[in-house]
Amino acid sequence: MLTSLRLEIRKALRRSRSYIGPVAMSLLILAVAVGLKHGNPFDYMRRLMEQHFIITGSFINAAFLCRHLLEGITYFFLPLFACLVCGDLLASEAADGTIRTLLCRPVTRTQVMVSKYLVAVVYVIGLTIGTGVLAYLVGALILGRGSLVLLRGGIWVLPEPTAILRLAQAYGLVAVGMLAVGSIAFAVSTLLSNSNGAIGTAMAVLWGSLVIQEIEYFSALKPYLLTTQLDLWRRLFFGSVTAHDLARAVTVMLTYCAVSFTVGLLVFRRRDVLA
Amino acid sequence: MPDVVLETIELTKSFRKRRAVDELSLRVFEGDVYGFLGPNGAGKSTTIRMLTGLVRPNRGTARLLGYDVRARRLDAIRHVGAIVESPAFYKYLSARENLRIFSSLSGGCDRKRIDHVLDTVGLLDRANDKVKTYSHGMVQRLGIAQALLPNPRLVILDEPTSGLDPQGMKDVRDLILQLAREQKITVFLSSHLLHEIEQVCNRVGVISRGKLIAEGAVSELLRRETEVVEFTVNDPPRAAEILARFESLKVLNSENGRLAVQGPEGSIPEANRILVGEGLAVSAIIPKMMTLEDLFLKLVQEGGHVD
Repeated sequence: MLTSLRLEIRKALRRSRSYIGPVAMSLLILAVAVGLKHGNPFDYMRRLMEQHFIITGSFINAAFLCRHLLEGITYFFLPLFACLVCGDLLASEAADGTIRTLLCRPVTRTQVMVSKYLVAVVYVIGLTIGTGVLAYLVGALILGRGSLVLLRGGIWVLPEPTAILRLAQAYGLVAVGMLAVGSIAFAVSTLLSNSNGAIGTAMAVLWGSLVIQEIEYFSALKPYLLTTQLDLWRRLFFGSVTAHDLARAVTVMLTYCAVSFTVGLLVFRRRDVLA
Repeated sequence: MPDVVLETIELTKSFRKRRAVDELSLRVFEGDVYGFLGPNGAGKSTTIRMLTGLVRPNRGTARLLGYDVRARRLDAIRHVGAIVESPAFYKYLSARENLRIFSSLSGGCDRKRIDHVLDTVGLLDRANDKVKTYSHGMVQRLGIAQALLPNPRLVILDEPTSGLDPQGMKDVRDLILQLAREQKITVFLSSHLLHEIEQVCNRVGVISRGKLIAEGAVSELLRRETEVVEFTVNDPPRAAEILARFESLKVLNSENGRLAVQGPEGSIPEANRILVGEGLAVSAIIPKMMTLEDLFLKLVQEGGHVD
């Protein structure tokens, strides 16, 4: 198993596709940081706060960048880049025919599947957490550090240590959510010989879930929807999330991962390799 | 009796309603270069996929080196090298890196072994180039190198000369013969190229529409089908007239002083005696050897149709 895993990591590191996500996220972070520094966004927040407080310095800092970035990447960039790699790990082997060469060696299909999935886990978690860490570092360099100031039914000021803890929890939760989306793409890719279908299906599940959670008729489904649990990251900054809430969200999202992986494994183990 | 290294027993595979392989039973013995011959769509690749565990048979058994492929695939495949259809590699990696990846799945091998197989197929000087820069022929040769990596007792090659130019085809054929003679590797070679099988293989199985329609030593199969002889006589028209009186003989044609006659093996000396007895000068009797191509077309026409 370790051999298979090592090989999969080596292959992943040599594929240009693996670098699209990290490079794109780095550029995005830089662009947002520069935009926040030199533009005049969130001016309304400053004016609002100045009615009640004396503001020194800027609330647009590293913590704010990290929090602000999550709003923009959770439902598009991160799942897209997660699916781009997860949906391709098996599909590209089928499309290129290398799955034949691979499975003609004394290795079980379960070993192949598990090692590929572990690569997917490492990639998705690395991409999400790495984005958070990089955003904080770039933000600290360009915007400076400080408390996290948010508006929601009032003004919330989280001291820097608390803000970092909440940001870590938020990025961790989003990482599990991205893993669930990536797992769906991974499972679908066991059926298809091209990754586009897998990426499309996983993104459709994510966005479909977003739509369904807004429809009253499906309210009974809401606790089991991926996006309902993923959305919990927003509440983490306002002290309204209990450990139970967090555990439930993680459990639901990990269930998506487990079910997707199991279905993918069953399909892959039984499937005739005709590619 | 040499060991059976590859065996299928009533191996059957259907895709929806189409039966791709139909109760196929064949045996390959240690040291054989076995030609698996059939027209396109006959079921050769499906059989090879079942042998390597890529496709699950609906019925029947496939055994490699004595191990049931379904029950003990890892043991069965451990000392087997295979190319299934066109060889496929990670194009973004070099030949050496590809071989290192595939060898590590078989327990690994050192750089010397990788260099040795690359040298065997004539790719050592391009070992560090990415596979995407390789020609089709080079990829085919790399496929053979990959199959040789685990020091196999049996190599399964699916149309290894497909898409190669004449020189490339000759190189691959020479390589197969070299492997069989010098390294004593048993070779299972699937092909639809009759001359290739005739040149390389000692035994052949002919498959048509998923069914095995003939199997045996190439020379034996051809001899079995030898039933035409050519008489060189001084007066062919008269000789044809004389031989036409015999029911067991059939005069096929008469050209350039030669008379082609078809009949059972035992009737030829009798025909010769009669011709000589009638005062004709018979200067030669030459058995007209059937080529594998003649045999193949005859068998396929009897057993099914060529796609």
